[in-house]
Amino acid sequence: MKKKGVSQLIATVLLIALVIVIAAVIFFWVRGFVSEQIEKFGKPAEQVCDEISFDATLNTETDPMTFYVFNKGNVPISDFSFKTYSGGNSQVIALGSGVAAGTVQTFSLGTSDQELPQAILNADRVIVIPDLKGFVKGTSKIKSINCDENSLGKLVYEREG
Amino acid sequence: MKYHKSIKNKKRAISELIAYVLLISLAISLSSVVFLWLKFYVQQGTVQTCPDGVSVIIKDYSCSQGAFTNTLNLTIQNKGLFTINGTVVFYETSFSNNENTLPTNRWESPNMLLNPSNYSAFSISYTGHVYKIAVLPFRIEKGKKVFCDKAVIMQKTSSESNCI
Repeated sequence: MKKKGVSQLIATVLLIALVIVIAAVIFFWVRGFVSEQIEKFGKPAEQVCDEISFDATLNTETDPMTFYVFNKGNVPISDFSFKTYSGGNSQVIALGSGVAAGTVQTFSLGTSDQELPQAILNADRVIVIPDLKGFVKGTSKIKSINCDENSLGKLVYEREG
Repeated sequence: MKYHKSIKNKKRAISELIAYVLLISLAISLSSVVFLWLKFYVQQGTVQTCPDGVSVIIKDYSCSQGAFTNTLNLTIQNKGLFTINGTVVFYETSFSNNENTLPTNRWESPNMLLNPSNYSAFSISYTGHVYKIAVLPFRIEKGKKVFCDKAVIMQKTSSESNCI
């Protein structure tokens, strides 16, 4: 009967403190797996990507090469990523310019000795993917997001033969 | 026996009322967290889109040569189910054998009301020749211009039109 444990109050306090500490540890651990949410027009940027509508063509016969974009939709495109596939390798190079909604833009990609045209000429195929810029949720930090290649990527160049 | 009973009576948990209050407040706070988290993913309608039944055709086009500038006369007919409020016309004035060129010159009609099956004629000044024409209709929805991407038409000009 002399065996005494900690008082009920201390046991409760310990239990609650333990739960809070474990919850905090799990929260910070899981947060590392979840990427930052980027929002555009108050929506997740991934959802806004689905509303992009554009045509893109590439004229490789000119030097410098000419890249045409027709933004037919209502979402301004912030940038374009050129994904070049060569053999088993792929490389992504950003254009560095975007296109407003309802406009057509032409871009000169530079002469054949420059990085992007050279990568295109060495590639088996080239896919253009639109990028969007949005705010990281809850902050004023601007971040870019690559839209989904499978649903929005446009094949603009394929080596013949 | 008497001693045992007195020990048993001293074991007291929180009252039933407090237990219910704790349970309900926990359920409410958890559901609010889940609601706010999911709400962000199901927001709709911030980017206006055009209805699917919008459709336009180039009913007629011709080019007339002037002393300094030429004129592209374009008649656009609304073939869709909805009224449109204007069109953006893109036209290509530089010739290229490459099929991958897009018309880059842009002309936008003033806001108007083009009802289904009605048509409207426009005159656009240009220099040189017109090789390709694209038309992108738009609607005004909630005071904002909404481009109808699914109704875009693009065609090459023919020699009979006097454009090339």
